[in-house]
Amino acid sequence: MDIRVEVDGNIIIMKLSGSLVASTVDDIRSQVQKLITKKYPFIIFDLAGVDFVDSSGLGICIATSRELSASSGRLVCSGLRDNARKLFSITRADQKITVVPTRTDALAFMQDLLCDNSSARSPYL
Amino acid sequence: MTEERARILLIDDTPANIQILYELFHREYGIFFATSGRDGLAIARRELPDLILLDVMMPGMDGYETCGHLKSDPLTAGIPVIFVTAMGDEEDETRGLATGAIDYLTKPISPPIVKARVRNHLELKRGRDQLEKVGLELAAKHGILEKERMLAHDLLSKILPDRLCLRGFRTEVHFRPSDRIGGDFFDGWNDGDNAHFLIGDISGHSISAALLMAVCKGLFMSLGQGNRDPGAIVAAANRILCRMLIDSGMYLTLIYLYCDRQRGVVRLVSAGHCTAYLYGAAGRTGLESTGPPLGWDPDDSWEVSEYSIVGGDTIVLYTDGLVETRNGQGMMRDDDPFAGLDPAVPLDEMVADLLAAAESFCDGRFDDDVTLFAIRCDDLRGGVAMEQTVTFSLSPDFSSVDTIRREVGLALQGWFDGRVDGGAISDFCQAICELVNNAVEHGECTVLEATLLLEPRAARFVLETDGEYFDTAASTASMPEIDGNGNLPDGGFGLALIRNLSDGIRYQCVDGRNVTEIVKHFEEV
Repeated sequence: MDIRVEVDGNIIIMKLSGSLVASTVDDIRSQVQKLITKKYPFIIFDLAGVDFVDSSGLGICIATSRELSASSGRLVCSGLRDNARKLFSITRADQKITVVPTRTDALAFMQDLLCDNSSARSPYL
Repeated sequence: MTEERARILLIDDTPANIQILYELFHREYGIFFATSGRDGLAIARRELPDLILLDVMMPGMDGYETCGHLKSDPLTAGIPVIFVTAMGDEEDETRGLATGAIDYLTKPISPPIVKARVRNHLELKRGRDQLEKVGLELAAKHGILEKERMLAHDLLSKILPDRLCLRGFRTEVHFRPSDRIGGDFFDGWNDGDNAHFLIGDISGHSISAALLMAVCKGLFMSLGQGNRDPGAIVAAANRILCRMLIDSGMYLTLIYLYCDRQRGVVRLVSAGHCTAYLYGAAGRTGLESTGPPLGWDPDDSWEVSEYSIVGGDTIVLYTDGLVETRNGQGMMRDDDPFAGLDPAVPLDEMVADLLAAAESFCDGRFDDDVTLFAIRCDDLRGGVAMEQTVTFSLSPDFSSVDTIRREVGLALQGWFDGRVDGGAISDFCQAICELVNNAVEHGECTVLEATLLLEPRAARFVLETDGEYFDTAASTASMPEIDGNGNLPDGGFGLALIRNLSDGIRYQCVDGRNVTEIVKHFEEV
């Protein structure tokens, strides 16, 4: 699992690649904790490079979403491949976590969230 | 390039003595001086001179002590020290040399002798320094080469498949590279219900042999697509390889065979390869060479020999590393290892027996790569093979989840070969991962053994573990809810996912071992 963290204003993009499974979730957990401590509660998981997600990987997404909401922030997942999309759908996790097609959509969604009076609103909001 | 001027440090408490030596040397060498042992040590550490002339009788730290300090500091230990003193008896000289000095001069000094000795020692020092530098460079170069070799070795072992899963055939492969790189390769792939097989041995062990092996692996597979004539395939490969190999001294031997189950024949080319064997109802047939090795002449051609086969017949391919071995007395093996082979035993046993015999003869010391590749043709039943079993031994940690996902995915894709929906394969892989995940996370097991049973329209995955009783089958199929606060359900989604993504699950406890089986049916598309 390779984690690349990018900052766009107040928004963090965590570009993940490899397998999001039990053996790799701890790295993500500690990264997220660091970001919350540094007061960055708006995080995008860009999963375009993730070839496989299992139930532990799904678990970290749900836990992160809950923690960020508790810190008045938000988790958005983008770029889900077939396996991840199916997993999110059959567990109904996609009804609890914001899932958008691309990283651009995710950024637009976050920016709308951060400035409520924007005229052009993301269709996912 | 002009050589740097050598630099000398003079340590003497009498300025007049320093003056004499300075006059003697300053035209040829760079000079530093100190009037006490303590100052001398500081300058020596800072300037790292090429030579030190050291007075013995000094107040405070005398010459012996100074020399001892110089020699015990790794930074200055390599600097040659010459004692200069008024004392002249043999005992003093011995003591001086014992503290690590390289030479001993007595006052009054004779200028020509002092100059000659200093010059000699400086030259010796320069020679030592150069030797050391060359040695370090050589070690660095050797390190780089060794690293490259390890990388190539590692890459090679990944190019060759761990196992082959082909419809209509059982195969058993043992590939053991020698500690040198290069050498052997093998491959096999389906053409409908028929299949191509090959085994090859490249002369030499070097990075170039490894490169050639990687080329061959891709070359034969691409030439073999849509072509069922081993003679034409090998001749085409030879023309391409000759362009690379002529004048290189490298060549390769190989056996290429096409197994046509519908017509019940094997067509084969052996390019200078050691005799392979076909075991059928009529006994053993040697599959002899039908032409020269590849890489010698672009105009070479190969005869194709044809043999009948029926379901249950076995072909044993190997490279000569298996038989060209020496025992503890240096004697070559001269019996026929394939004579007593019982073609009725299971394929894995047959391969294990052949290997065990070879290993016991040479005491496990093979000089060359060893490849043993046994192929058994399944019974035909409506043109579809009956089944194949693949076993996995896993480590009891999460790394096994990745391993199993990759291996099972490859095995399923090989077995169904595009005939079933890829989504169904990935669903089954996911269910298997969840099962292994659960066992690792909650099962407290130390042993994980898995078997994949491949059937014409289904696959079963059986996981056997020790440790906690763990009844996956007791789980329900309904997906647990994430509650309003976004909390994960108890136990997560693993069990429900297994239920959802497979078509059946069974659990039983056998002799204290937990055996869980999940099954998935596959529709042809």
